[in-house]
Amino acid sequence: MAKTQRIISEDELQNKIYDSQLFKRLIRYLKPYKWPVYLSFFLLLFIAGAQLITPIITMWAVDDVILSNRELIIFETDEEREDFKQRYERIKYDEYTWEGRYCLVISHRHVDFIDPMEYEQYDEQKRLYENVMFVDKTESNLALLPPEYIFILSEEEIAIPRAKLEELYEEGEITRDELRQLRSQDLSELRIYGAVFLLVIILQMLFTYYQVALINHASQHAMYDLRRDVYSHILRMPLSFFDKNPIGRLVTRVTNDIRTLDEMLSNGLIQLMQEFAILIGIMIMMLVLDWKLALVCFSILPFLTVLVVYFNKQTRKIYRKVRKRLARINATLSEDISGVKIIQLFNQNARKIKEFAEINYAFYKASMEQLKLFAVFRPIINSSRRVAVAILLWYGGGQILQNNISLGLFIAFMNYVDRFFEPINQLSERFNIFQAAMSGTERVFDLMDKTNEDYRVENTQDIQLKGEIEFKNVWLRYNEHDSEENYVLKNISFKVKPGEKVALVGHTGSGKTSIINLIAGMYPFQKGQILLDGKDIHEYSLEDLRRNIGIVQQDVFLFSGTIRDNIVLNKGDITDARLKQVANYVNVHHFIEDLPGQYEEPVMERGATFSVGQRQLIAFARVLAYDPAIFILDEATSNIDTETEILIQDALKKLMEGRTSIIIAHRLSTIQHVDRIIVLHKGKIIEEGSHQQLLDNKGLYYDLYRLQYT
Amino acid sequence: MKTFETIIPFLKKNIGKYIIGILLLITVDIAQLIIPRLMQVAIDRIEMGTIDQVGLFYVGLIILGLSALMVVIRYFWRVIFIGVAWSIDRDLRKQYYKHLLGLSQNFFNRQKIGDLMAYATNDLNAVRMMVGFGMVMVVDITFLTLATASFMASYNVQLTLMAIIPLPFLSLMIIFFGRKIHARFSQVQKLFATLSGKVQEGLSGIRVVKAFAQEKPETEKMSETALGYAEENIGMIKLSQGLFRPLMFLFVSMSMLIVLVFGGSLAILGDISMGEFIAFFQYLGMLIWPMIAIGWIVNMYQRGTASLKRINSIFEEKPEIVDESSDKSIKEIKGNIEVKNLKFKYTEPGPWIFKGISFQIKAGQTLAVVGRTGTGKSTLVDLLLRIYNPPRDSIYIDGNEIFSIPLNTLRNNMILVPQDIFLFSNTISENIRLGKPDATQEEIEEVARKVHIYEDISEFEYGFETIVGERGVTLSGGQKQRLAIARALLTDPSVLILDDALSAVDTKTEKGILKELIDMRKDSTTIIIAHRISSLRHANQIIVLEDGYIAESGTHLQLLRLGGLYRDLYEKQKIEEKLKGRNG
Repeated sequence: MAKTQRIISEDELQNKIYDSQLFKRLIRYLKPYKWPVYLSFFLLLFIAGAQLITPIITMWAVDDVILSNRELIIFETDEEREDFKQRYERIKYDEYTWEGRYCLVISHRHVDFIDPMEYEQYDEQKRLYENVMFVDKTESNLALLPPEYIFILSEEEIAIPRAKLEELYEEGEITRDELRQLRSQDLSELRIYGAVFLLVIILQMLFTYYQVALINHASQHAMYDLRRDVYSHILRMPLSFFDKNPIGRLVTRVTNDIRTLDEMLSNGLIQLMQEFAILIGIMIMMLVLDWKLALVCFSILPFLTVLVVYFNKQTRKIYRKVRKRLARINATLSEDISGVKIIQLFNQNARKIKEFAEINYAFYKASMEQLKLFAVFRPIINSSRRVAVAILLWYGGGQILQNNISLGLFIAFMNYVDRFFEPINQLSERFNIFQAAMSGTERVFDLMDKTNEDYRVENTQDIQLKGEIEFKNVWLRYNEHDSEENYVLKNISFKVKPGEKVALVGHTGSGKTSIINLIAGMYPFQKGQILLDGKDIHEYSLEDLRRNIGIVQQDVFLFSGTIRDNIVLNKGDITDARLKQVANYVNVHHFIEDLPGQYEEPVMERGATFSVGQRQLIAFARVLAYDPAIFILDEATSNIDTETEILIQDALKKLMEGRTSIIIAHRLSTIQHVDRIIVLHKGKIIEEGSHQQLLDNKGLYYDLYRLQYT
Repeated sequence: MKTFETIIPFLKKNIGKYIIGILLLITVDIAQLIIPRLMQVAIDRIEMGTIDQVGLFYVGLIILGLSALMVVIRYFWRVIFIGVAWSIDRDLRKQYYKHLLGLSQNFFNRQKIGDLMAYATNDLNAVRMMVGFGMVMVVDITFLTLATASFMASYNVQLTLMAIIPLPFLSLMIIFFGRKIHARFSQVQKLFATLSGKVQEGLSGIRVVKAFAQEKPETEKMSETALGYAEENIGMIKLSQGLFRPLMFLFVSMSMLIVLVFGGSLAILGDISMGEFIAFFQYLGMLIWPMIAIGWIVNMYQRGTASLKRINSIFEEKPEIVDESSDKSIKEIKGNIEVKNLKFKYTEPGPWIFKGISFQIKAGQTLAVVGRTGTGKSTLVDLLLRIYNPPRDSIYIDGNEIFSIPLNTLRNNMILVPQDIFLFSNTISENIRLGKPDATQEEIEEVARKVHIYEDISEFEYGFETIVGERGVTLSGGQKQRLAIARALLTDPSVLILDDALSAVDTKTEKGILKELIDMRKDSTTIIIAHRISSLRHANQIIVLEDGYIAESGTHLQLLRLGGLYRDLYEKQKIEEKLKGRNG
């Protein structure tokens, strides 16, 4: 039931891409790294600016250098010129005065500012020369150009209309080399533009590098912090939480779910911002350069937006279909490979192949649908750029013809239009990243909202227990909602004196493990009281409690790392000498010495390379290193070779010496070492006494003894 | 070229489509190349004033028309080229699955399920990319590069040569960085796997963590790995997004810069017109994509062939269990089984499982196999069914050596209910129907009653249509076992083998089921492996395995009288029964 509900809620999440609450919690993790983030945004603006400036450089190069589109207006008096200058403050100009001619040279782009009537007037009075270019006033240049074509502007410069110069070149009046000499000023200026261009792109590259480095430093470290918090949070959950949640799912929270987040932060989000900044920048630039032309270019945007939105919707739908069918292929493969033996045994190959072919074909069909959708929309979206270019050519070309805009401006517009359409292609990809990240965030923070185990940190006193344990009418059931009869411990009362050795004996399900779980404070119990050294267990902090109890589990768990790590368990203050002493005491020193790496020998795959007995000895050393007042052992059931068995028994005897010991015993020899045996059956204490007493009783213990220990 | 043997037949089959696809691709490329030329003519005419608004409108219209044409043709080449790739993907996956089902248990013991699944998805994906987009790119690049370069050269050879200088570097850089990034990415993946492993380990050992108050140190340990992962990730992103992409952009911009400065100079000197100058920019833009794609192709090809090799390695696996020497005339099995001095070990240097065992069962009899864990009870029945190949001349069924019986006949007539029950995530009735797909509902219900599961099933909301497994209801061990027996009984096999298939069923139900079984299988052979001796009472013969030999054999009473291993086991189980029955 719970399973089904989970599936539904995960499906619901799919539709959500933005949740401000979640987003805020996520952003909080970026707080410690705000300076790199700010700096990175600052750089981002520069990069966007650089992307915007390169078309402008090209425009200037074309208009001012290659085409030399400048207008020359000649005024008769200085006053007239001053008057013009005052009326058109916005116009940038170069001013020249030579032999009673008062000249202004205006860039072609600024001609628009002049009143058309006035402009017309200048033209009629032959005081206006369009498209003039500058030539150095050298003897050789003057010799090449007919005086009637030129205007001397200053000591250094003369001006000549481009058309006249081209005429001369075409008619062969001047040679190619002479033309190069005449235009040497423009040629070198072009190189300057080139150098600026180069500088901009190199700067852009450097900035991009630092921007990427900064933002990733911030987001990866933020995600590292989050991952740490989540993991630490999970470790502090009560054990009952682990009984309910499969480990695989919890691992996914710490790993994959957070990964979708760091992908969004370092990939999707930043690039989206950059693209957005550039998009806005381009729109502003275009509007500033020529708002009419800009609006004409934007005219296809509404159509394109509708198309993209529709396309994205369709893509998502079909994407989900493809994923679902791929998941079915995976599920079928996984199941049929696991069950291949059954399929073969029941001779079902042919039928299963047919079934798989159908599932496979369904996936193919969905993929083809997706392919066709892309095949329709991708080219259309790509071509929309060409539509914009066609419109630009038709309208913008007309504007050039009417001398309203320059060719350089036209080129700049073409560049902008090209860049404008680039990000649109990647929109659906970004959308997917966002969606995955948002559902990941939701799952992660859902988990973070679950309550931890209460560690009672405030009670920590670094206490040293003597080791007295008392159970008073303890009742336990694992699931709060279970009915009364599901108690696994029923009214358990017993007392263990400091240093006493007690064995718990009983059939599977009798409650032995539950008792040791309760002593270590692993589960909350419902009724009764547990006292340690006469004080209620709840008055100790968990840390104090667990530091005083050493547990060796039935299946000894070794962490990857070295043998040493596993004995010391991050207790830094244990010296090498002490380590060896401890190991020697529990008879594991010789075994470790024989390993190639000795104490530094790596432990692989949870200690799978060591035998059960060896692992148990290592666990003994681990307990001894901690030197707790209470020792708890859940003895291994599996067979251990005689030699190791002797070592274990000897170590066990030493370990129990002077320590309160509670043993779930599976071996006769173990049972013979203890002072008292508590016999459990179905959650109740049935018998109590020494081995011999209990055997004489001929009760439950007698039966158990014959079953398990002979 | 042996690597490609797997896909060459598919490519050949689709050769016609590929030719059409290539022609379409070339048509699109030409249309694409015409547009800048149209722009060039229009701009030059604007500059010369030899075109009017109407003329511009027509040029715009032609561009629109060409764009529309490109949309249509692009649709078709995408569907053709990539569609073929998808169909190869589909056919290969089907073939792969079919091949897998034919392979023997030994093969599956060696392989990880995850790997086998990855071949059918990730690796096939890489192969599909190679034969789909990879092919498109090869054609597109070759043609587009040559055509674009010649269009550019028709304007000015010198400028063309200069402008394309940075481009081969671009391709080289993509290949170089592609590899670097891929290696880096694998490293990130590896660290991610380590991280997952660490987390998995910490959470699996949660009891130790808590018992020794290791929460903090454990978090620190994970943090170390997580930090390593974060740093590696930063390194990779710095490389791919911080260095590679901007560098790529830089090379592209360099070409633009060359056109601006040198093209600009040529325009100043009148060697090229303004229209041509602008067209150069546009053609350059078209050349950049193929140069980037060359890098992709190289990487795509490398990944594709590596994946194809992995897939081939599976196709090269030959099934061990084959019918090479069977006598096809053997169509049925009566159920007389004779095992003669059977010796067996799984792997060559390895321990003997059987050092020589012999026994005989006649049709209609019941044999029980008893023994401690690891004495080879399951292996014995696996050999009878040729899950593993037994040595020759050691097993005879109805007097025929086992290798002479066709696998089909063997497995149609001998049904095993294995220890680890496997149910498909499907409905209960589909699971029961596995061996007899045409069974009626009545038959299914009847067999369900026989194994005492009918009541349980009726209690489910959807009855026999209830889905079991991960996505459906979770069945108890006993229910699963009973379903598995029902599934086997439905096929009414000549030989039925139960490998500890009632261990999770309570004693009372077990007795009931066994009673039904004895009744139903009076005329056919049954082999039962069981831990619970009480359920073996009725067997005609009981063998006790120990140390690779048959230690004891006889009927229940005979063996009890013998007072050996069997007797010992029997006594212990009696105590256990007593304990279980006891109420605290």
